[in-house]
Amino acid sequence: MNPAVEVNQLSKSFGATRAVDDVSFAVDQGEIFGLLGPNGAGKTTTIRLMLDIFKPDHGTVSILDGPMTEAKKERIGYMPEERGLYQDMQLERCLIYLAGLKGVPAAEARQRVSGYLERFDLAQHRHKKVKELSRGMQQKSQIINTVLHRPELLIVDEPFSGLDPVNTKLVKDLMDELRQEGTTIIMSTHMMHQVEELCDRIVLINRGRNVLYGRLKEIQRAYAGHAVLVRVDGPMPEVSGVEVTLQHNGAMQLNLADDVTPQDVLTQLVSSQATVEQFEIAAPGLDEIFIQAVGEETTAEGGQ
Amino acid sequence: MSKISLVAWQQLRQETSKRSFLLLLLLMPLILVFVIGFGALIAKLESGETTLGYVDQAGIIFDPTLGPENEDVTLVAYGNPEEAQAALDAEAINGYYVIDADYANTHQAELLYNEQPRSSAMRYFEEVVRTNLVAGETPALAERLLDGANLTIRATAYDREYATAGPAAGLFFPLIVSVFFIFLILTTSGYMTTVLAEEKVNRTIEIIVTSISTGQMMAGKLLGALGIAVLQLVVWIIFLFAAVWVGGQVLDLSWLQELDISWRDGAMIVLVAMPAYYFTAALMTLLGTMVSDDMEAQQIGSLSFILLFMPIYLLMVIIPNPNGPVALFFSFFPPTSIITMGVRSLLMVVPTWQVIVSMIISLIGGVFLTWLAGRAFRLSMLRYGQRLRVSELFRGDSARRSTASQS
Repeated sequence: MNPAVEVNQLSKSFGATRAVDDVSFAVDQGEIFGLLGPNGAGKTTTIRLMLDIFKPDHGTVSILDGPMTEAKKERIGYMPEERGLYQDMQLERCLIYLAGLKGVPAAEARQRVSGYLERFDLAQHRHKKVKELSRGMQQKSQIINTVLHRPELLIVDEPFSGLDPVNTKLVKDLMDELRQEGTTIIMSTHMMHQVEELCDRIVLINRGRNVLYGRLKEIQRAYAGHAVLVRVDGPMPEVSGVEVTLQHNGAMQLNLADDVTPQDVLTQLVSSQATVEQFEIAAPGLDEIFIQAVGEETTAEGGQ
Repeated sequence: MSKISLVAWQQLRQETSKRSFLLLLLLMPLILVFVIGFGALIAKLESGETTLGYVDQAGIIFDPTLGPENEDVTLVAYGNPEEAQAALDAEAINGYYVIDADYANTHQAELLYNEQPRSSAMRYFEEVVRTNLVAGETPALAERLLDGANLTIRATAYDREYATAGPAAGLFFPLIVSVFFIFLILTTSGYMTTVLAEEKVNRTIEIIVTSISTGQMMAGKLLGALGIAVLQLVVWIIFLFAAVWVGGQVLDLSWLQELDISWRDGAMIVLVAMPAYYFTAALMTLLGTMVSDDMEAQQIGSLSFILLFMPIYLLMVIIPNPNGPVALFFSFFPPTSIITMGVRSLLMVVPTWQVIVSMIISLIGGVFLTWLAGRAFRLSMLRYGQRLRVSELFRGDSARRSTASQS
C-alpha cells in the first residue's frame, strides 16, 4: 500500500533562514502520525509545503499518490495553526459554506453540520455569529469544519489547544473513530501525552531537521534507561544490584547496576515470595524523549 | 453550484445583508424623491387660480380668450389704471398690466402688483397678447410666428441632430447612466479594496486556499461584487423609472412627460460600463491585495478616483473633437471609458465597433487583473503588515515564495 504522504528531502528557506532542512518522512494510510517539534522547528512550514501553500526550494512531496492538485483538496481536511472562521457569519451558515467549498452539496452539508453540532454540544448556538462563540466553541467549530467533508487525509495543527478535558476527550474520540474508518491523520501538537495516546508513529523536527522518526514504541524503547518499574503488594523486598530507587506513579523505579538484568530482578522478587502487581521495563515519557532529543541536537550543533 | 458561484453567492449574500448596503441602496431613491418632490413643489407653487387685470391703452387685445387654454388664469379688462388699481387694492385681482399706448413702437407693458403673481399666469398673459397680435394673419403664418425660432443643428460628421439649438432632455439619458455607474464604482470601490483583507482579518486564508484555487476565489469575489453592482443598479433604475412615471403621470410634471430617451445610447453605455466596472473592481482588488493595511488601501483607492474623472478634466479637449485621439483613448481605457462614452454620446452617435473594442479591452484587462490579483493574494496571503512589490508579481515561483514570512 502506498503511503498517504511521502516527504523526501524537503528544504525551504525564507531569506537567510532555513526553515526546513532536508526533512523526510512517510505517513502510512490509516495511521495517526505525530509531527512534533519545539516552537519554530518548521512544523507548520512543512505542513504548508505538503499542502502546496508554499513551494519547496528542494525535495518532493507526494500526497494521496502524487503531487497536490485542485481535485485532491476535496479529499484533505486541514485545520491550520491560525484558527479562522468568518466572524460575522452565523455558525451553521459558515460551516455549510465552507463544506460547499470542499464539494459537499448544500443539503448534505446541512445534515452533516446538524449532526456534528449536536455531537459537539453546539446545536443551540447554530444561529449565533461565530464571534459570539467562546474560544472553546470556536475551536470545536473549527474541528467540525475540518472533518465535515469526510476527508481521506486529515492534517490538524494543535487540535487540542483551548479545549477543556471534556472537549479534549470528544476530539480524541472523533480522531480515534476516524482512524477506525480508515482516515489518515497527521497531528502536529505540543501535548505529548496526547501523542502517546493517539499516535502510531512520529517524526520529531528541530531547527528544520529530522531528529527522531519511527514507531512510537520503538523510539521509547530506544530511549529506555536501564531500569524497571515494580509494584508489589506490601513492602518492597530487598533486591540486590539496584543503584537507585525512585517513586514513580505509585510504583518503584529501580535503576539497575550495569551487570544486572531485569530478569535478575524478577527472579529475586519471585523468590522473595512477594506478590508482584506490576513489572515493566521503565520507558521514558515522550516529553522526556522530546527534551532529551532536542537537547542532544542543540548540544551537537553548538559543538560544531 | 460551482465553487466560483458559491463564493460569489456568499459574497453577495453577506454584503447585501449589511445595513450599510441597504442605506446605499436607498440613497438614490432618496435623491430621486428629493428631485421629483422639489419639482412637484415648484409646480404646486405655480398652480392655483390667478386673476390678472389689464388696461389695454394700445387696443391690441380684442379677444382675451384667444391663446392656449388655461383654466387657472382669469383675465379682467379695465378702462383705466385707476380702476385696475382699485381692484388690486380691494384684492379682487393679483396684479394688472398697463399696455403702453405706443406699444407698436415701444413693445412695453407694465405689470403692477402687491405680491408677484405666478410666473405661469404671466406667461399665459404674454401668450394671449402674442396670439392677439398675429390674429389678423393667415392661420399657417400665425402658427409659424407663434412657434418662434425653430433651429435644428445637424452634426453631419457625428450623425447627431439637435432640435431647437440644443440636445433634447432624453439625450442626457446615457450620461445619466454613466453617472450612475461612476457613482456605483465610487460607492463600492472601498469594498473592493478590502474584499480580500476580510480573509486576512478572519484568518480564513489557509482554509480557503486548501479548498479552492486562488483564481476561483478571486473570480468568485469579483463576480459577487459585480452581482452587488448589478443589483444596486437594477434597483436604482427601477426607482428612476418609477420616479419618472410618478412625476410625469401622477404629479403631472411636464418636464418628465416629454422625455425623448435615446435607448440605443443607454444600452451602449450599459454594455461599455459593465465590463469597465469589472475591470475597475479587479484593479481595486489587486491594489487592495498588494498593500499592507486598510489605510494604505484607501489612499490608493482615492488615487483611482482621479483616473475615473480624468475625462471631466479634459472635457475641453473631448467636446470639440469627440472622435479625436484623446476621446478615443479614453473610450478604450476601461476606468475612463464610462464617462467618456457618456459625454461623447451627447455629441455623436458612437460607432458600434468602438463600443465592441471598449468592451473587449475591459474584459481582457479584467480577466488579466483578476489573475494578477489571485497571484498577488497567493504571494501576500501569509504576510501581515508587509507590502507586496510589483516586481515580485512577475518573478519566478520559487523566488517569490522565498519572500513569504517564515512560520
